[in-house]
Amino acid sequence: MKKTILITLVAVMIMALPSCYKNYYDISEATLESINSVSFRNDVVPIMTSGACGCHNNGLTGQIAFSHKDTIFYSAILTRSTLLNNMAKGGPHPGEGSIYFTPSQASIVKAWVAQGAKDDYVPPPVTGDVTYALHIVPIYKTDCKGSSCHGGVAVALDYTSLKAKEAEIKTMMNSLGASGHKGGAISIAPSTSATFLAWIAQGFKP
Amino acid sequence: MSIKKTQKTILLILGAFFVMLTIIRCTKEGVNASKIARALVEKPDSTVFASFYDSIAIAEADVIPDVNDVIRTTGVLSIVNSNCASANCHGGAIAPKLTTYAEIKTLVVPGSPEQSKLFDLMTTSDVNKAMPPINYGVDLSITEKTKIYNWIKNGAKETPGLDDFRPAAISLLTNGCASANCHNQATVGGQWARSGFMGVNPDTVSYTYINPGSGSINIYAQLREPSLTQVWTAYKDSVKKFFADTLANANFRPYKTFGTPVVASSRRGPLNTYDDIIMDIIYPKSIRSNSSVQYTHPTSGQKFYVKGNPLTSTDCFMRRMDSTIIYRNPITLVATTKNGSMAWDDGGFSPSEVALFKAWYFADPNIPDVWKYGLNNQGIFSYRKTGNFITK
Repeated sequence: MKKTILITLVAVMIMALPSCYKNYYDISEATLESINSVSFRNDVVPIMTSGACGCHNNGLTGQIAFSHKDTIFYSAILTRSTLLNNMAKGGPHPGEGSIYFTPSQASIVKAWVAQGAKDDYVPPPVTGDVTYALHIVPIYKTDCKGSSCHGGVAVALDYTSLKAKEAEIKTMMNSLGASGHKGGAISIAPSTSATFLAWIAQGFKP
Repeated sequence: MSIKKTQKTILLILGAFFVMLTIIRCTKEGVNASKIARALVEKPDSTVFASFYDSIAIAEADVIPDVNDVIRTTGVLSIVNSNCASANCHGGAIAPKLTTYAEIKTLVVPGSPEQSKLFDLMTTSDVNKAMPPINYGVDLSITEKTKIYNWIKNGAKETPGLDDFRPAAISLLTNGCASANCHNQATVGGQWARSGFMGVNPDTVSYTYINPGSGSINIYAQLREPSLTQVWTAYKDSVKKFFADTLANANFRPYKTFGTPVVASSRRGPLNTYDDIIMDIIYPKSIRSNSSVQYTHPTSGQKFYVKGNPLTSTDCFMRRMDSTIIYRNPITLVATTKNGSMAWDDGGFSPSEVALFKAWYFADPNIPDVWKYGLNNQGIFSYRKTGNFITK
């Protein structure tokens, strides 16, 4: 009888082992990164488009724009990521005055920069007709026409001049602004690049 | 030692070994799994507005979409729907079902996120417990976790109230409007500071801002010495006393104390604290700050740069915040033009934030009814689109 109990006990333990083994699984590096990463669109954008950063949106006050209505200028925010990181650590605002990040906002900004200041937005593929009036002009107005750029010191661009600069624009868009821009390297969002390249490929529709 | 005893000992050791092995293996995690970090690192920001349903406060019929493209405030239900309640999971056959307020509430202890299963499962780093399951590779964003935390913390209500609106609205104003060069106590571009007017007092520093778009020039000033912000506190006290008590007792800025007034380009008032904001609402800039004489005391002959009646204002807080409404002077009932410039122009507040301000404004008992509905509930705010007055 005793023997039977002991044998049963051992058998149950052995049988129990595989169920425990399930707990020993690991996850891939990619899954870990996906779980632990700060989302630019969900976590950082709400901070950049309201509160202390409110002035940098919708382009009406002449400040560097972080967004215009529902379009987020990732490149404009990215180029200031080091600055934002410093401000999140208590550093000064480049203009006059102070900016107040809440502790929670500061930790999000710092974590996002530490993880490489990546954008988790995947732009939808460009489909259908891309036209100068409907697609290029809005990007030009918000991304290129700043007071110290093509709205001020640099020449204004229109349909004819953009068409004439096909080679330069292609180089710029293919390199996301690293080369081809006469005024020096700039940061171009993947969605902007895709739109310009599609416009050129479709034959510069007006 | 008998054979039987030896057998027994071996079996016991073996048994103990398996039990240990079971315990050790059950708690062991893989290298990557042990690095999972889903908890909120910082104590959640309790000023983030968190409602159960999306969008808030402004009726669809009264919305004029000229401040932004869309109205979008994601609530708890949407967050749970998109992360947990797909057809294959808790929106379908898998229990518990999480598609309605009542169903989601079963996983919540109102007031205590830490004791709530909903919050625990979405923030635990335990690879076996975490929801959504770790192997899906998706996790709620920090913003989403914070919203759920605050929704539970504030009582997990189906409909939000003043407790939800006020901290969020005040935080947007104090962190947003009072930042940088704008509505803070160190900025003395306003005429509120007796000794702070520009070019005269060495305690101030001025700078010029040229708008690159319009070319317009504004000159601002800031106090060099931050402790001088007590000037603002003293001014606030004097304004309150001036209107609440008697004109004769007003001994500070409200009446002219200098020969040639230095006109500042901007008369923006500080909005650093809740008290600053309430002061700005009850005594709007239009009645307390002007570059010309507004009122002469009938007996003393003192000339005041403020209006005698605190209600006869041509502008007010909500007019500057919300471009969907028209404001009229509570005394003269003369309507003004639409404004909203602090929302869509300088501040860039989204419609959902404007709606938040409005929800707080009309719910806050510290804002007197006369600044919500006018005298005798006549209405001072009407919707541009429908013409309907907001009344009690």
